[in-house]
Amino acid sequence: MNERFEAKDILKILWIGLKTAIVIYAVFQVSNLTILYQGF
Amino acid sequence: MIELSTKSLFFVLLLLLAPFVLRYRWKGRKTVFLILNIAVISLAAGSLMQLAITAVWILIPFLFVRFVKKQQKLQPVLIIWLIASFVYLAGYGFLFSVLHLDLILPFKILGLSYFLFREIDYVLQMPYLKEQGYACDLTDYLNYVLSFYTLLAGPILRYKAFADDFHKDEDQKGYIPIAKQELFTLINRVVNGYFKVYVISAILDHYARYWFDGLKSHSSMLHAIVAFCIFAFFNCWFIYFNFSGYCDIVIGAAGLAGLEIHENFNRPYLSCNVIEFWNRHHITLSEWIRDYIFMPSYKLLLSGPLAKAAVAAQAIALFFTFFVAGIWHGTTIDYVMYGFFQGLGIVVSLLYREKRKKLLGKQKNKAYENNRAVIWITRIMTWSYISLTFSFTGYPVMPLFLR
Repeated sequence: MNERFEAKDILKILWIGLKTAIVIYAVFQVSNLTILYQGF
Repeated sequence: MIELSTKSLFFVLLLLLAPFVLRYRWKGRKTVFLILNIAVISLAAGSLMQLAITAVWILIPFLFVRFVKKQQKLQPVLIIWLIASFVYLAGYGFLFSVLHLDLILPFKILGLSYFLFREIDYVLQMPYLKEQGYACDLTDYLNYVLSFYTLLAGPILRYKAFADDFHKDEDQKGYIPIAKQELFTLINRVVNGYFKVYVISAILDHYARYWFDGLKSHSSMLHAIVAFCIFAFFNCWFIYFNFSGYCDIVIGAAGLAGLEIHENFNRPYLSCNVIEFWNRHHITLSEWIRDYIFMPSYKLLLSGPLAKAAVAAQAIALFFTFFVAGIWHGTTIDYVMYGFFQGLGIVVSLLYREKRKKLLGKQKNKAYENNRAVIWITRIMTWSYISLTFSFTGYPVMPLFLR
């Protein structure tokens, strides 16, 4: 992959990162509380 | 489909690291893939006994194709043996209780149902594929059957598709490049898959359980019916987000590794009848049962008692196909009901379509099918039927009804 990164790619990375953070948060909630919806 | 555990964290790590190994073309690539697959199945197996039984069950079809000479004659025997041993290994409790047998193994073999599909496909297709010049050594076979991308819950791979895909670009050396856009798309798909499984389906599962538990203490029949419908609503969306999320994860992750896995979902809840639904939900399963259960049984009926009644033959073959597919989904009596209702839904859809064609004629029928109001009414009806019948999967609904 030799293509350059552009400004819109940063947005894509942030968007994917945000969703990943929510997943990790949800997984954390499940593992500790077993009731996922309490965090929402 | 996916539960939170150290095993699933290992699976995440594997999905992240495997592309670095599998995108690199060298002669040891398939051996490395085999090592990864064996590592996954070894970790997933609960004991050495479990692993040994899995190994024997998987190796027999390979040895049959490799060493047996009169394969055409003995194929049915092997297929029957595979199905019978599957019924035993999977532990079909209701069958054993009917036969008054107490033979259930104390463990379940992970991925067993999907192994069965791949093994049957391999046994039936390999003689033809050999004629077309396809080779298959033990490493290729084990990679096909054990591929960790499709181990847990599909999509169901065919050997031809697997071999074509895994061995493509083999004349190249070094890393197979990936375009930036494709990289973003695939990573996004994997993250979306995890989001569907761990966030959306987890919430839906919580509410489905809540309403199902409430059914046990209903005060009136009306209350029970309403509660059951709400449970069915959450449960059907849970199934969609959980299963399609899992497929997004493995299809995206396999794509990152340069492997192509067939799509398994195409907005199934927008289907206008049950036939269309099964062409858009768990697509690889529908294609497999079409080729290996529906077509042989349909041809058998057409060549025998229903030679002049094609629609009746189609209806019986479809019912049988989906009834069997329903039972394949699980080992309790609930899945027998699930199979029955899927078969019934398919047959009613087929007969209604045929009757309508006769009554309206070709042009009017087409206009009817394209009518916007009809499309949305039939979508809602199909979705309602599917959501109610999907209640038999994953929850002990039958004991509740019988109570």
